Amino acid sequence: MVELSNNSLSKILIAAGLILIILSFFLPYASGEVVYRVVDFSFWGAVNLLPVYIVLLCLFALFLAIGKISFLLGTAVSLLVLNITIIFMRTEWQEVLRSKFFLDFLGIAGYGWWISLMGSVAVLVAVVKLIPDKKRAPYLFILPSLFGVFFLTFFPAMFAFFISFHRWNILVPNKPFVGLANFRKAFTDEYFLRSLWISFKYALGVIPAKIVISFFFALLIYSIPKFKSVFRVIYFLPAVTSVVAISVIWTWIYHPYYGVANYLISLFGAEPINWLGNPEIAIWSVVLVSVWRSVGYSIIIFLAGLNNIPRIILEASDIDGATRWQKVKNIIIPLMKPSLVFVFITSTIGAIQVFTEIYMMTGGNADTKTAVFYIWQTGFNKLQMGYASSMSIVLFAIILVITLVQMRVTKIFKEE
Amino acid sequence: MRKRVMILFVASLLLITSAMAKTTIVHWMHHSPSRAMIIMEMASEFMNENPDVEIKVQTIPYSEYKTKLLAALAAGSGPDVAQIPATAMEEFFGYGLIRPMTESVATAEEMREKCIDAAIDKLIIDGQLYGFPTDVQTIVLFYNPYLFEQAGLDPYSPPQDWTELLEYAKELTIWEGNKMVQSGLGIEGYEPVIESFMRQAGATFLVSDQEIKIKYEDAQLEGLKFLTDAVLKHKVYVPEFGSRWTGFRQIKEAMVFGHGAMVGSFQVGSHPDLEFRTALPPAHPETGNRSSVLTSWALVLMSDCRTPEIASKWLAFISSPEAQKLWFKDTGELPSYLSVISDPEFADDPLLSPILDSLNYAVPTFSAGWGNPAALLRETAYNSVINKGADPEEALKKAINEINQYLEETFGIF
Repeated sequence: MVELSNNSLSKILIAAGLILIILSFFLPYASGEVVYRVVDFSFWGAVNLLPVYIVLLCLFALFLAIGKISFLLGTAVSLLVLNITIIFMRTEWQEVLRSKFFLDFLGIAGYGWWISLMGSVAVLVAVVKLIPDKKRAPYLFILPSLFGVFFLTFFPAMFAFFISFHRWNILVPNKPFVGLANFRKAFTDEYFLRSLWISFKYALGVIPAKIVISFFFALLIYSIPKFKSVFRVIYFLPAVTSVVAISVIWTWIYHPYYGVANYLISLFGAEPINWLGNPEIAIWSVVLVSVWRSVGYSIIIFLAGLNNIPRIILEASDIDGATRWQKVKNIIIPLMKPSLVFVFITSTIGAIQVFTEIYMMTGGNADTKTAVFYIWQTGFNKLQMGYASSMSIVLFAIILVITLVQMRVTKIFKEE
Repeated sequence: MRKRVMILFVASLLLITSAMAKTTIVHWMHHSPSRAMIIMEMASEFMNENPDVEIKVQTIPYSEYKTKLLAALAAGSGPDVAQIPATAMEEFFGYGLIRPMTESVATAEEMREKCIDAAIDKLIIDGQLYGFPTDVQTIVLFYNPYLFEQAGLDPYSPPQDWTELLEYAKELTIWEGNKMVQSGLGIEGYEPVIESFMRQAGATFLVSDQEIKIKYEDAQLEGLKFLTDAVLKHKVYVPEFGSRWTGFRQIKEAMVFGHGAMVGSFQVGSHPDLEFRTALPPAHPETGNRSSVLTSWALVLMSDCRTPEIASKWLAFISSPEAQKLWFKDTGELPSYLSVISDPEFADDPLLSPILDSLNYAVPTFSAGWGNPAALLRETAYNSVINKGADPEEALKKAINEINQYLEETFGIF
């Protein structure tokens, strides 16, 4: 419940904002070769913008009267979003929606649009001012990050959904709607399905190896306090080194003729191996590098988990005569479940999305073309952004399902 | 009085500012140290000759170049002039991204008279000149005379046809037990090399001049099989041997096909005792054809270019015969002007003259489009045969289907 009577500035801002928005309905919103008013914009050519505005304004007045601040905030944000998104509402403009076009729009935007924008901003500021300071402050602090997440992550992801239903070549103005054609193509594309399989193969190699190795080393560092910090730094170094630099160095290590890897195995009489060129083993060679590079990060997570285990429990087990293995099995692992689940899920997501190591070490050759690499190639090489987006959405859905299953399974496991 | 003085002051300030304002041309190209140095020198020279022009050269690492250019063009914030693969010319023309050169600077007819056809064919669209040739490359044979001598072969007689090439390669290959210690001929399925062999066997690729679609030909299969058999059957090179470039640099590989620009690369950072020579690609034993596939880039004016005339002059300046000599000497990029190709300065150079001679056998690649579909000859055909033991004919037919699918998806919209 908000108290409007004590906040005269908000009252003035709301009144001014609403007047500006209503005034804008009589002024041009865009005045290029053709003049457009608010009635000339509509959603998908069906729902006119003016009635939508009127409904929102009525709702705003209603929420103001009943004092529902969260509803007021929602309506104020909707008014602003409505103003900004009119650029997407003219179907003839959609064909040239490049980033430069957004700038061009500012050039042709009419008084009506600017006044409506000012009105929406005034209304939003007034509503924010109505929120009590204590409640408002935390949101204001996270606002810059929220903007970043919205514009750099959430908006592109949503936009990918939109373009996945179009034949979207970024250099061609005409981007026709093709419905589910891109998705149909993705499910029958031999190379995409193969790339998915390669990604899973890679993930199946990386995840267990990474968890087991990093857990083992975390346990060692935890158990032997001497030089703890030194080891922590040593294991973490690959994690902070550039993936590109690591990939270049490992490409040399793997060189079939001059590489250290073949030299080492030759000491045991083994034949030289074409580590990155043989399709049978190339992906596993990359897996090895990825595991080596990323164990340091997981070790830090596991160490944090280990340090959270109450000493008293371990001491009690010592008094009860528990062996080292019993302590690990019955105390440490069960109490480490949150860290294990975190590493398990983040490793899965990261592994399925692998790109840089593949790009740098094999260039997608020798059966190492993972899903993300193939998507990148389709988008930036073949210029088929619509199809590439549909494949990324399929990949997103797969990762989501896997993550949900993982969370469910680990929850059941936890409850046991 | 005071007001008048103020007006006069402001007016003269505006006049001076506008007089001082320079025409700026933003030029994008992919980076290599030697290319960057030459273009910077040329930019300084051009700006000295044209004091009202400012050239802003931005050199971008090759691995990022295409992605960055693409993103900038899509965003409408691309450069005024740029280099793009010649194979992408038709596609960019279709998208309306490039504009013709100003006729007062250069015309299509003029360039046709002065340049070799293979370098200029893709740059002329609808009778208008849309680009100047740059970074022209053909395929030549590099061989090591020392290893030839060691194997009892005449170091001054490179193989003249496919039969000799294979015989020499076999002679020059050395095994120690199961390990190849010297390769006779480095082969990694680089698509211009595969296409050159296919062309030599008589392949013509395109269904017709009017249609961007390729057909399956027995000559293509012959070219592909020659290379895959050399690896799988005759074992003159095995993938386990590693990079063909490293092998040649380390005097462990007797012959390798590559672009002329590799001369500079081999001269720097190789084994100190490396000796090498260049030769024309060996001819097909029956057709006698020595075709060498020409790949190149084009210097183009973007359609957003604000000053097309001065930008055309700038591009003509950096691709002029004098400039091409410099590019050739310092970077190994081949000239396209007939006058430079026949320049006596290079005629006696044992390394450079065969490379220049290869231009007489140059054939432009069939590849078309930003995605370079010719790469599928390597990815789908060659690699499948070598790595998975696929049947060459089936693998080639599959590659051709994929190339045609790409061509249809790319050019079908125009």
